[in-house]
Formats: sequence, C-alpha cells, structure tokens
Amino acid sequence: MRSLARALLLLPVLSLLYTHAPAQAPQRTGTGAISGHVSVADKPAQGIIVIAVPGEQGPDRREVARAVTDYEGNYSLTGLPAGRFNVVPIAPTMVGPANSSYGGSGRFIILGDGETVEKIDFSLTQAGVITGRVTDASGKPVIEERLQLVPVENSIYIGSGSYFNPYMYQTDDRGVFRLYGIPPGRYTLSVGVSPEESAVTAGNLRRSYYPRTFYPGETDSKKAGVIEVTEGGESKDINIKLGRPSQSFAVSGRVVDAEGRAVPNLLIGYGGYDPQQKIVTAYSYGQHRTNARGEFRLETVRPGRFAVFVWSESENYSDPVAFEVTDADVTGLELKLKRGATITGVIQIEGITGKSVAAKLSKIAIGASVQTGNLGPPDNRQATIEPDGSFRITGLPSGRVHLFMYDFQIQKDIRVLRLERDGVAQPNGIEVKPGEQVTNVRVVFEYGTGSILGQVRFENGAPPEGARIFVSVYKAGEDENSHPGTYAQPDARGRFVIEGLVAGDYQVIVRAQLPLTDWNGTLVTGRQNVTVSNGAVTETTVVLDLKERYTP
Amino acid sequence: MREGSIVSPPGKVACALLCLLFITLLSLASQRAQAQGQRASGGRTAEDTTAAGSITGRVVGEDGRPMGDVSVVIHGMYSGFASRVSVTDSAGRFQFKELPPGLYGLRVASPSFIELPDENRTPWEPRYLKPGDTAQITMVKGGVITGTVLNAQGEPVVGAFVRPVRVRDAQGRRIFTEGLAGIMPRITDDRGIYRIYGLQPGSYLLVVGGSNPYFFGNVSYGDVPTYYPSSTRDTAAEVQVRAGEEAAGVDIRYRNERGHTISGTISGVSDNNGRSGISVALVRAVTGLIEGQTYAIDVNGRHVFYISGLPDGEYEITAQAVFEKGDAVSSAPRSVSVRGSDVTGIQLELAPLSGITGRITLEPLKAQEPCVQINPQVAMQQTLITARREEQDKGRLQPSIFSAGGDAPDEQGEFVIRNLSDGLFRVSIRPPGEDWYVRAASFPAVTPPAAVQAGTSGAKAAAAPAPPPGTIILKRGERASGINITVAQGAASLRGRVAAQSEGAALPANLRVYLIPAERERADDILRYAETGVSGDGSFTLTGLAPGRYMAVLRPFQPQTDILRPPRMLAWDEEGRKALRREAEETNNVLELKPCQQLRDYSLGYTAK
Repeated sequence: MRSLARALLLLPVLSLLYTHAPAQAPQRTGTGAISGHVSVADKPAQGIIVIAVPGEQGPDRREVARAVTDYEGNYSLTGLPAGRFNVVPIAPTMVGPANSSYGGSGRFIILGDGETVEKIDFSLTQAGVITGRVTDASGKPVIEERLQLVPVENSIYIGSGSYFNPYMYQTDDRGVFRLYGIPPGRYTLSVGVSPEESAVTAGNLRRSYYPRTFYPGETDSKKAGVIEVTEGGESKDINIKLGRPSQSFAVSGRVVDAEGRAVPNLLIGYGGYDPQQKIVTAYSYGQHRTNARGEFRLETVRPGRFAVFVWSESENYSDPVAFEVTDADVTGLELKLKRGATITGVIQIEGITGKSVAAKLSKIAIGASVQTGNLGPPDNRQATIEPDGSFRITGLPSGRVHLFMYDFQIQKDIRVLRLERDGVAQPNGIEVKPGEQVTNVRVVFEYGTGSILGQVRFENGAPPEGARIFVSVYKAGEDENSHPGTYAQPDARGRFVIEGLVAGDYQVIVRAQLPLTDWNGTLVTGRQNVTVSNGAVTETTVVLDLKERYTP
Repeated sequence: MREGSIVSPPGKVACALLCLLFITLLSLASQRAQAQGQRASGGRTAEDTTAAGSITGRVVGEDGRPMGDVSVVIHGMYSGFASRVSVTDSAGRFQFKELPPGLYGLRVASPSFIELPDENRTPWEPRYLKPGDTAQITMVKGGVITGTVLNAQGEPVVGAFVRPVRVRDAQGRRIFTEGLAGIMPRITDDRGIYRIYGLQPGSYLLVVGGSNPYFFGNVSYGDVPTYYPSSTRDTAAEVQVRAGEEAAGVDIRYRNERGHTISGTISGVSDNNGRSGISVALVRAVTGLIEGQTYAIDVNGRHVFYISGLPDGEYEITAQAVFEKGDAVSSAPRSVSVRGSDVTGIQLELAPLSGITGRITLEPLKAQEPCVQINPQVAMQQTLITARREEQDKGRLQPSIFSAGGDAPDEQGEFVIRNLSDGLFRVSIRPPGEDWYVRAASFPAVTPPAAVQAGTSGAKAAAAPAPPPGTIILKRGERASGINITVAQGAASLRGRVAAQSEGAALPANLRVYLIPAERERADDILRYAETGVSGDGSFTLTGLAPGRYMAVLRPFQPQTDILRPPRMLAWDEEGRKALRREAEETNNVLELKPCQQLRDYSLGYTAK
C-alpha cells in the first residue's frame, strides 16, 4: 500500500508543480554560455555531466544544455538563451558544498542575452555509503520501512544523494537499504516513529508501527550507535534489529448541531495538536465522513496529542476538539457544529482594467485565516473569484480574519495592497463575530511592471563556501519584521532580479547567513534604497561589509 | 504557492508550504470524490442511503496465516461512492460498514506482495462485491527483477529510472499493458543496481530513460529509452518472472542517445478558469502503448506541451482534461512522425467527448421459486451498464483512453455513460443476479433494435448501413440518447456435462457450449445467444438465460493465444451466428427453458469432426 500511496501522492505533487508554471517558459536557444571547472578531491574530474536546467520552479524542467567535463575538468554550456538557470553537475555519488539556497549542489545563474559567465566551478568530494538490513523481533525482513539519517555534527548537509534517489531511505523487500552520496561524517540511523513524529503523521494507514529504533537496536536516543562515513568508504552491516511493533488505536465520536441532533455526511479532519501554541499542526481530511447517526471513527491513530474537527464544506464548521491517545481507543468525542460567519466582497486590481483583470482573477483565489484566540479550526477557507471580482467565504469561526491570495500559477505582477471594509482600510484584519454576515469587503491588489536588477557586492573579503544569501524588497515605510516583502533568489555571482513592482520607493535588504562552522553563523545585512518606475528596469548594487562578521 | 497576506499571521509562513501541500493533495482527492458524488442524474450522494450493509473479508498469506496491516481499498463500480480505505487487523480481517446497495470493487496492497490471481476470474473481469458479501484473499510474494545498468564504458549508471512494462501474463498471453501508470520506476543505486519487487507473474520489458516527467537531473531525462538488454523497443527482450521468484542479472547496457521532442499547443479548453490540468499522452501508432505523458504548461495564456526523449517512429498524440464535475474533453488523436529531428507546432484541439444516455427497466418476479426475491431498488443498484468500443484498437496492445465506460443506473433506471470517444460501441448489461436476463434492448432510430425488430430483419435502413445488433455509433461530442433496456427476472440456468460419443475418447481442449434461439425468426436476436467454456471434467454452467427454446451447439473454440483482451461472443458477428445455426441444425439438440428453471444434468454428446 505504501508504494501505492506514494504513487498516488506523487501525481498530485507533480500537478502542484505544474500549476506553478512561470508566466513565461524559457527560450530554448541563444548565444549565451556558462563555463567552469569540476574537481574531485582537488583533482580535475573528467567525464562529469554538467547540465543547465530552468532555474525556477516550473513545469518545464527539461535541461536546456548539457556538457561533459574534459580531461582538465573543464566544461562549457553553450547556446543558452537569456534566462535563469541552475547549473548542476550530475554526480550522485559525490558531495559538493551546499552552495545553492535550494540546498542542492547546483549553482543558480541569471544569464543576460548573449552573456558569457565563467568560473562557475564545482569542487566535489567522494561521498560514502551506509548499507545494512532491518529485521523484526523474529529475524524477518522489515519491508518498506523508512530510515532517518541524522548527522551528529549539525554542520553536515545531506544533499545530492537523496535528490537523485528519493526512495533510498527505505528498506526493500529483503529489508535491505543502501544510502549513498552521504557526506563524510558521523551519523545516527533510525527507523520507526518518534514520539514527536506520531502527532504529525495523521492519516497513516497502519495499525502497527515500530517505535523509533536506532542502529543497532536501541529505542533510547542516548544509546544510538554512531556510524562513521568516510570519503569514498562503505559502512557495511549497519543492521537494525527491531523489537515488537506497537499498536495504533481507534478514535470515535459524533457531530451534533446546536439542538443536539446528529449531523450525517460531514467531512472530518484531524491532525496533531500543539497544546503550547494551541494550534492544529499538520492535518489531513478527506477519508472520513460522519454516518447516518452523525458518528465518525478514525482508525490507526498513534499515541500523541491530536485534535479532530469538522472540515468546513459549507456555512458550517466546528471548533477542534483536542484529545490524547496513550494506550487505549478514544471514544465519545463530541464535535459541535456551528454556523460560521460569512465574508462577501470584491477584488479590485489597481493598475489594470478590462479583460486583463478577469484573466488575472481566474488565476487566483482568496483565502482566509482566522486568529480565534482559542484552538481554531485550520485555515482551509478558500474561495474562487467570479469574473466580476466578487467572492464569498463561508464557514468562518469568529476572530480576526486575514485575507490572502492563493495563486494557482505564480503571479509576479500582482500583490495584495490593502483590505477595506465599508471603504475603511483594515490593516490588522477584520474582526468577525460568531455567525456574522460581513459584507462590503474590498481586497485591493496592486499591479506593477517595474523591476530591479541588483548586484550583491561584498566588501572586506569574500563570503565562504556555503554562505546563504537572501534578498528581500520592501516598500518604503513597510516594517520588515511584520511584512513578508518580496523575495528574490540571487545567483552564484550575487545578481538578482525582482519583477512585477509598482512604481515607488523601495528598500532592498540582503542578508548573508554565513556557515556555522567557520563563521559562527553570523548574519550580515546590507540595505539599499531604490526608486522603481513602471515598465522600467532599475539597476542597483547592495553592499555587504564582511567586517561585521567579527562582531562578538 | 505564494502567500501574499496583508499582515502575516505569526508562525504561519513557515508552515504554509507544507500545510498547503498537504491540503492540496487531500483536497484533490476529495474534489474527485465529490465530483463523483454529484451525479449527472441528480444530486444523489453516496452515503445517504439507509439500506446499508457491510462487506467484510480476510487476508491470508500463502501459508494460510493472517496478514495484518494490509491496505484494503473499496470503490464503487461506476457509482457515486467515493473509495474507502481500511487496514487489516492482526487476524487479517477487514470490514467496510454501512455501504449503500450497489456493486463494489476491492483492491489490496502490501509492499512486495501481490494478490494471488483468482483462477475463476478472467483478468479483465473485476471482482464484484455487494453489501453482505465476504471476500477471502490470499497474498503471495510478488516476483523480483534485479540487475545492473551500465554505460557503454561498462561503468554503473547511478540514479537511472528502470521501469517494468508487463507485456504477457503468466500463461504467456499478450496483455493490455498498463502503460506508464503501472508500477513505479525504481532507481539505480551507486553501483548501478536496481531491484523491482512485488511484480505480478508474467513477462516484462525493462526500460531505462525516455520521457520522464517525475524527477529532473536524473540520467534518463530526455534520453531515448533503452530496453533490456540494450535495444530499442522492437528488439527488446522479455524477462519472465513468477510469483515469489527472482530474475537476477537482468543487466542493461544504457545507450545514452539523445531523443527528439514533440511540442505544440492545445486549444479549445472550455473550462474557463483554466485550472484543470491538461495532460498529453503519446502512444506508439502500431501498438497503442503509451510512450510518453506530460502536462501542458500555461505560457502567456496558451497551453503548451513538450514530450522529450523520443526515438524516431510513428506516434499518435492526444490531449485530454477532466473537469471538476467529472466530464472530460479530449482532442482527436493526431498522427506525428519523428524522423531525425524535433517536431514542433503540433496543434491539438480539445472538444467534448461523446456519451450514451438511456433507461433500464427492471421487471422483477413475485415469489416464484427458485428465483430469489429482491428489493427492486437494490436490484437496480446492482445493475451495471457498460460500453466498449468495438472496431478500433485492433492489433493494439493497449486500449485507447475513452474507449470504454459505464454507469450504475439511478433509482429510476436512468443512466449516463460519459466520456466516450467516437466510434462503434457495444453496450452490455450486467444484470443484478443470475436469475435475471436482458429481455429487450431498443436503440435509437438509426440502429435497428436488436431484439424488437428481429422479426423484420430484412427491412434494413435505407441509408447508412446499420450497426450490428447491440451496438451504437457515437459521433464526436454527441450524447446518444433513447436506449431502453428491459432487464427481467426469471432467467433460467443450465448445468450439464459433455460426454464423448465414443467410449473413452478424450474431449478436445477449449471446447465451448453455445445456445442459439431455436426459432429461425429469432436468428439475429443476440440477446438469445449464450456461450460458455467446458471445464476439463466436461462440466459446464450457463446462467442468466432468457426463457425459451434453444438449440445447443458444441464446438472447439480458438482461444486467444496472442493478445488477451475481453472476449467477444461468437454471436456478435453475423458470420458467427450463421455458423452456429448451421451446426445446430445438424445436431438438433433442442431444449426448452421455462422461467426460473434450473435445468441440471443436461448431457451433450460430442462427436469429433
């Protein structure tokens, strides 16, 4: 079943990626070039395939160019159009510095028309292998059990190996596993479910499960065996012996309306519950409905803290009911169905008119999140927008409601500007009373065609390998601590592009996170004010002074 | 998904991606279920029926010991019932409670295990279960294929996708393959080794590379597929595997040839929000096997597609999309030949599909032994109507999409079979029980009704040649209506034995019993024909027979040794009916079956010709 489940899961994941098509698929050919050098253990590496793939999340992930390193370790990707690329050496048994913010071993390049970029170098080392077998108390193989590899030193990033083979972290039909592409270092390896994990794996499909067990067969993390992985080495016979499986439990209850009558055919959701933060963490729904007597029953719930709730499909909702599973079934939970509040309003996009507005509206939906002050249901309220811009969101609990945009395809050029109720701006969201019908809400979007082409420049030294650089842009006056801003991914040369900006004054903030080992995790920040005009590209340079790293 | 909130609620952004992913995955599933729940025939939801029962069962291993933690999925047969999942307990038991009346299918899954194939069930015949039924399921270890993928230099190819394509069943018969949607590919490790387990017995092709939309960066991306041992599809070797056995050393020499790309645009999307994914499937023209699949990309409002990694050859490409309510659109299949270079500018236009609507009338009998009295409502819900395309797919190893469909009629007997391509379709009924039969079937005017006009079969329609009885011609985008089918209770059954005429002589293999209507004027009434195979011990059983006078014929049957596909009745073709009548009139084995009669111990003598 897990392979079936995986197959089922994979397809939606793909479709999710596809819905994130960039507005423009990259051109396939041009006159640009990217070249560099690949070394393994500081020696030139011959015969390594280097590919350039589109550098943004999108459906068209076909490689745009491919090259093979020559006897000196040099490669040259040619015939590239202007665009954004990830340059990746295909070397799944080696490790490189995790120098892209995606965590992979590639380098991100924003290439200009006909531009040649040189010295995109990769320094790789031979990775190691961990292999062994997982057996149960009677010595039988444990099949398709997930493995968890954790570095003892937290500076290690496990990268490319798993990227190439997402299935290697599970045992096969013989209970055998083989993890490769593992950076040299010391690790612990475990299978089974940790106490923290059990709460977030709602919706699992097994009645029995193994409590987390470390190599060679310890449930106590303090006694976990340490596995040494060396450069090019193979750690064999890392066998894990499991004890007896634990059993999951059933949770049942019913849903009643305000008059105490059972409500059939309601969708039930449940998920982990964090009593400190009073929130429902990862959750699932879609498998359970109440029967004719309003009853529901969740099988295969592992010990942990959970909350169960009515997944609102209409005007009604329920507050979540928290429960804890310890060593027995949980029965008699009662969910009270309430009539939720409704928000109706319109979307307005400033800066465009006519048909282009309707075209934009068809690509987005409006979502609502509610701060209830108590344990509230998860924020699943979402409404599509009619061609005339109107929307209606139902089934809301009372509390402070924030509206946000879902984009089915990334919409770079529009963003939420402000929320209005009865023509008055609501910067802190809308306070909604129980069952209230809130009308005359307006969500104003802005539409922009300006862009910033930026360059990050370091002074007083160069950042070390593994430094992570983040670029954000804020409108002048926006508080960077409470506003998400607009993110941009700088390329390997520190170049970045931010598109879809409305004319006005902005502040670009660049943060460089330096690696923990060498630099003690210092964060270096640079700021630059920029004025953007519609339809134009504004160039700017943001300076980061590395002297700051010496700050104690 | 970007979250452009006005004021970012604390702690939300971090969880946003994961949570949204989770929600999206589940909501897709739920939308589908809901779409199926809202049926065209009028808002009937799956779970609101009061008369509900349970389907229970037990899963055991080969040794008869119970298997726990086996996933069991139940789904409605063409009904609005969304699927449900259960997991067996330590005694191997599972239970689905409070199921509305209807017919259900069941699938079990446990990693590396397969369900022991049921000898009594033909591969194309699903397992039909109804509330009250119990299923006993045995699971055995599936087969394993393992080997190494090496490049031309003999070095291991790491991270290559190896995909099995089942092409024959355990008896060596060619089968309709599952295309890309079957078993997930496995990925080679750092030594180039792959291991595929949990395989159904049969013969497989092993494919490395080719169009692979799943992960980028892997070696296979955009390369021409290499088939085991190191060939193109046409010269690929098959690997045979039995349940519980391992075929090792299936080493593949990867050819590493760059393939070509077919690209183009798709128009005519009627779903105005454009959110339904448009998928594009590419099949080999000769075999009909899926060689590539992708989704269209939105480029400035245009739907664009690319399929990479294609060797030279003749292909057929089709785009399709399924909308939220369950209606699909598709393009007409478009022939494309790839000869040494990329093919660009292919234009596909999506258009509505065809469908069939009509009504089924049930005629139950009141208390007539041994016919079983049944609640007419339940009987209706346990009736299925299906349509399958007849003339196409000849020589193909994979049926084209939209070439079959079905429906479970609503309370009034009305049915809608949606999402069918154009062409000649045969309509079949699965009556609610063995004591039911199709008494009459009337098709729209252009089609001379099979049963009703049997007496005036000489009066052919003047214009276009009429489709054969029991079939209907669908035009693209049209919904054929006016099919009326009467299913009556009171069917008879016939159980008997074939005896060799000369003492001690052996019966030939593949002997079949045919019943044809004794009345000559009924010669073209295909509802009065029946056929079944004769078991090794000479016994045979025919159920669901319309009452009346018959002639029985015994003749050897040419079994499908090559391509395994749903069987066609001999009587569906005029030639077949004539041949049967000739033989029947020679032997003159006449019998009469009364309503509900269960005729047993019927003896048929076989004389070798």
